[in-house]
Amino acid sequence: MLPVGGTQIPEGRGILDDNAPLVKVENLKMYFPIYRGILSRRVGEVKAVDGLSFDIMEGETLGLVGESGCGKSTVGRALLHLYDLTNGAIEVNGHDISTLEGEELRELRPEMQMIFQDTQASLNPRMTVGSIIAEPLDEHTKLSKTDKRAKVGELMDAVGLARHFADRYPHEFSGGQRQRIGIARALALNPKFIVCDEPIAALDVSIQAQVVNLLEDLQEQLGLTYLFISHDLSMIRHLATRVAVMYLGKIVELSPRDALYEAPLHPYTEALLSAVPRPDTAQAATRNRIILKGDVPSPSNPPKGCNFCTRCPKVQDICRSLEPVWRDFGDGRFAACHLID
Amino acid sequence: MGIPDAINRLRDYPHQFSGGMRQRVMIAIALSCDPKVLIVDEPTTALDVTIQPQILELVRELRQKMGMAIIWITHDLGVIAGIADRVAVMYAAQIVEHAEVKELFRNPPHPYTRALLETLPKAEGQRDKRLRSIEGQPPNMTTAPTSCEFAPRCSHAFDRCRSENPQRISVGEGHDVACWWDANTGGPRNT
Repeated sequence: MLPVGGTQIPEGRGILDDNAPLVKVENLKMYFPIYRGILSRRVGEVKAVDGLSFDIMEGETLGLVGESGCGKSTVGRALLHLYDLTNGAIEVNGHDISTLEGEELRELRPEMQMIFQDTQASLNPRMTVGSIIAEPLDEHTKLSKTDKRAKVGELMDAVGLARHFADRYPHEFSGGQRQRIGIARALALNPKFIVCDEPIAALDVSIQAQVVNLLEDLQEQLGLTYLFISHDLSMIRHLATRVAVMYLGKIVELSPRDALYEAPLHPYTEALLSAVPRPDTAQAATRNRIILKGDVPSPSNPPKGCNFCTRCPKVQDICRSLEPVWRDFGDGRFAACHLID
Repeated sequence: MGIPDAINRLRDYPHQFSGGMRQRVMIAIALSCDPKVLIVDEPTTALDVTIQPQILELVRELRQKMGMAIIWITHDLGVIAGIADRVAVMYAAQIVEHAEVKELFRNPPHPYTRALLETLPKAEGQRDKRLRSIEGQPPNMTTAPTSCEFAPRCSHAFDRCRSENPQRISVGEGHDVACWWDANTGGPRNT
């Protein structure tokens, strides 16, 4: 157990209290303006995230999957209010953070942290590992020097780094170890909620499992809540309690894990699942793969109607004219598609 | 090559193409002189899940049509299962196992191949409680091996593995492996 303060939640992972969402997102929109010409006139906008609403329950892992450019990372950053939102309300642990600014927002920072994909870029190469992990403590606590050292030691133990590494620099470590440093830094302030933005995508296959196991252990010990962003559907299946599938700035389906993988509702989810390469030669020959045609349309110029209508194998006339609404299909399953009964 | 409106796109620059389309252009360049062997180095790794099967399908068709041999370099065992005839598994600069694809996935005698297959989370069927992981780090390759390079991370390693580097020996038709441990008997190999 990590003796890093008193914010432990007794519930284990997977035990969900339906009444207690830790993060509530309402109609989140994040548009990035496009400027052109010598006068830098605003000529349009990239609708990176276009009207998302979802909750993340305390102690759960919400998996967020989708192709690159669909807006997953933007959602993760917007949830921590790292961008000025175009629209929408975000509530984390009872505080509406979408309207806060400056010092008020800074005071809530310890509750929500982030683990990044690129460990090379997210760790300062001129700082020692000890000072990287201690930086959030410098910023947000008034601990004495010895207390800080002790805490850094505890954090390093918790993520499986030897304490004598504290005086070394990030480049002396392998990718997996660097990710452990990033995790230790994220844990320093006893956060409740961590956004994991593709934390294993840049790691070697044999190291990925180590980091995933570590994240799961920490979640169990500390009662953490994760938003786990990934394009690796097999890994999401392993980790997530519920899964949200994004396509071109919108969530097209949100379901509990097992239901989603057994019987996907949305045609995009179905195609995505069928595209996962399986390490199994018998299946490789017999499987019916849905191969989607073409590419993802540009988010600055999304198609009329359903965003997926240009690639959907089941497309009907209605899909090209009318945008599907977000519907509740019971058992915690939601999707936006005209064709589901 | 499956690039839509190809004639009109000849004047376009690479940045005007999507990742999948750029990979098609690369394949077109590689095939322009009718090669006998095509070496592809992680061609689908940087591509999205839904674009990957498009490229796999394309290469499969071209192989059939042009009758060339392909060396497909990848870390993705799922891709291998779908496209390869034979597989060579490398660890620390050496081929540690080599077999027909079906044989390799059915019955991998080398502990490293086994571990690789086991660390992958499954996309369907029974979900693992906890992922198997290969402990430790890949080795430093600046010195010549005097022992099996995988021994420090291997759960079956014994004395000989730490003192002698195994050479590949045949364990079946078209199947050879470099390992002192015998998967069939669960003990040291008799050589």
